[in-house]
Amino acid sequence: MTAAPWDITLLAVDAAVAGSAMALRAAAALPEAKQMVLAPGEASPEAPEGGRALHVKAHKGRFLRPCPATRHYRCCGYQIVHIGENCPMDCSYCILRAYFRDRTLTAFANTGDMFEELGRTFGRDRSRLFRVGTGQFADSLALEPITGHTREILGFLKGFDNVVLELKSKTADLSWLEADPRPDRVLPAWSLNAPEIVAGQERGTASLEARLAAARTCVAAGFRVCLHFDPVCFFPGWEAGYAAVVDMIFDHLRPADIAYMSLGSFRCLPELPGRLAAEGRELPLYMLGEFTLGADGKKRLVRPLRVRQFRFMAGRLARHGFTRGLYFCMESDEVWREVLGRTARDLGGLSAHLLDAARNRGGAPSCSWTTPKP
Amino acid sequence: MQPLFLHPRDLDLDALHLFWAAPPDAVLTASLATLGQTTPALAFAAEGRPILAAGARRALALRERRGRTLAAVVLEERDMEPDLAALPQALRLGAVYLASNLGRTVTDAMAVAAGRYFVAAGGPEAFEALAAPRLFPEGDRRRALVGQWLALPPSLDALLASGNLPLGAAGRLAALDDASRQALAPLFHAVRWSRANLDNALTWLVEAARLAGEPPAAILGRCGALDLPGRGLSPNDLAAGVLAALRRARYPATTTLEARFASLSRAVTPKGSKARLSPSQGFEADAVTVTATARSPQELAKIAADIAAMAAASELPRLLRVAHEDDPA
Repeated sequence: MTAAPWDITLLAVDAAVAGSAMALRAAAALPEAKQMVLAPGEASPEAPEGGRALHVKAHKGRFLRPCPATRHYRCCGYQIVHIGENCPMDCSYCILRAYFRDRTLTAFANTGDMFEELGRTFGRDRSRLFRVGTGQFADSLALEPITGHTREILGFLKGFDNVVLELKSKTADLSWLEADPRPDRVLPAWSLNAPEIVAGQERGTASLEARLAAARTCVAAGFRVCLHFDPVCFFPGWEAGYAAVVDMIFDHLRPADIAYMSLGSFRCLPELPGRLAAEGRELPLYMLGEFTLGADGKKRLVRPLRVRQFRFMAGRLARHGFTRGLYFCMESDEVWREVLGRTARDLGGLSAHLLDAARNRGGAPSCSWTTPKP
Repeated sequence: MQPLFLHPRDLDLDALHLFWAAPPDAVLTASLATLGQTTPALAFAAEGRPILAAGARRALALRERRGRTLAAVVLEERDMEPDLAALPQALRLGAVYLASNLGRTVTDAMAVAAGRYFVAAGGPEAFEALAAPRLFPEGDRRRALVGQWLALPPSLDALLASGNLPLGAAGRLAALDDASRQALAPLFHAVRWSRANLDNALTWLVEAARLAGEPPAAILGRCGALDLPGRGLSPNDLAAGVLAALRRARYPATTTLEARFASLSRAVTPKGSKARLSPSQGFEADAVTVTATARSPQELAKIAADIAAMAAASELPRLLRVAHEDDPA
């Protein structure tokens, strides 16, 4: 990487948002990048020196949207606040590889429009509770030092007691804390993986140690955190790898510090391996697992192997006293039942369950059942 | 050009540049017997005996006819186009031999034989410059495949000629190391591989080896595939058995599920029933799909009775839970 953050060598700003606070912050944060204003309809050019472009623009569509889940598996009901697209980190397993064909990063600077839409939705009925996040089509915090997006959102959300915001990241950025958000309405979250996967399959991400140290800092500041093992990868030696990272979690955090934790087995669009091959990358071992085509059209590990991994993880977490707040991302009732003995429906729905866990310190009491099956 | 009459026994008909030389067939032999030699062979002047450049089959046929000579024209440097004359002798002979065979149907094995000669005489560049344009029409994908094949050990050429290995697998075979190719040799000799089957077999073998952190030969040694050629199986059964063994090595969990399902569904389904059970997509759900085709009310009634028997079968609960890891097979 060059001296420019995330190797960004071009800042292209649409004329419509050229005067926005975000555009000005980005210009100040990227003094060495080529900077240009794009006329309406003008495409962003290639970034110079083989670097990456940051395109600051206005988003025309809806900002709040449901997670693009399939009805065939159980979704956590996460709602996305659409702040931008693509990620400067480079993880071989990332679904964004399939969604976005190039390296251009996009940040939506028309935050006024966003807050108007969110204000209408969140303010319509203050008794209706929301669990939202920004980490679906982008890393929540990767561009935060450049765009200040999250700080703006946190400032806006201070007026909405009924909204919990989850900030999902693989960085150790904590600059958003400057916005002085309510610790009980913000859930900083980190994606974790086995050390072999972090070392071999993630590029540009913070180390596990740094992520967990950031989580500990947040806990010290009064926040609870969320952790996500997604994707859980099946590779030779996975047991030792995932045991190590689970153990590492509890070197930094207590079970009560974690609002909830997800496990999601690696899944991908069938064309992802081909795309990696086209980039000249050797197919990672975890992509050579035994996959089947799931009901959602994605490749996923054959069920008994997923169950084996989930049981191992749940058991390891239980040994550290984490027996509540564990859930599966996009899994079937069969897998829920096999690993945890119950389904998401038994909880009154996963979405409601996690909303409860997100808002209430001490966690959703009903989730003590998550002690894994022996 | 100087006409010459050569005694066929004085000619070296095993010369390397006659790379497609083959015994004369009955038609040629009969034609020579009734009409005589109607087309002269081609020879190069050399110190000592002339070198036959084209006409090996005629020469071989005439060897069998006592007292007959081979009519040939001798090509000297002054008769040649400058490009041909400038070539070293070995390449010149190869180029003339190919030119004299223009229009002949060139099999994959023949193209490889020509390629071997040109690579030995002048390197891969000589093959590309002199042989490939004469062997393949513009855009023929075999040109690249032959180029890949030429990187393989010549010992595999006989398997290409026999149809056991397809030219299309050249890239896959070239990606294997020598030890793996040697370990696979019994299967190469025993099975006539289609490209698709060989692609699958090599993919499964190589991936299983990567996952196990072992050389492909080790996987091959214990997957059972090498035991099959000696069992007197039909060619189709042998190929299917080898593929199944390699697939089991690559996908142990999936093939175990499939085998469990097949065994349990046999136990659940009444003998002769037209109702068929199949697992859920990818074994994702604890469910089975029942399919049947009825052509009459009687058939439908029989199917209904069979399905009722299936529902009562003691093995059905196990069949429905076939993907549960804690349920032993």
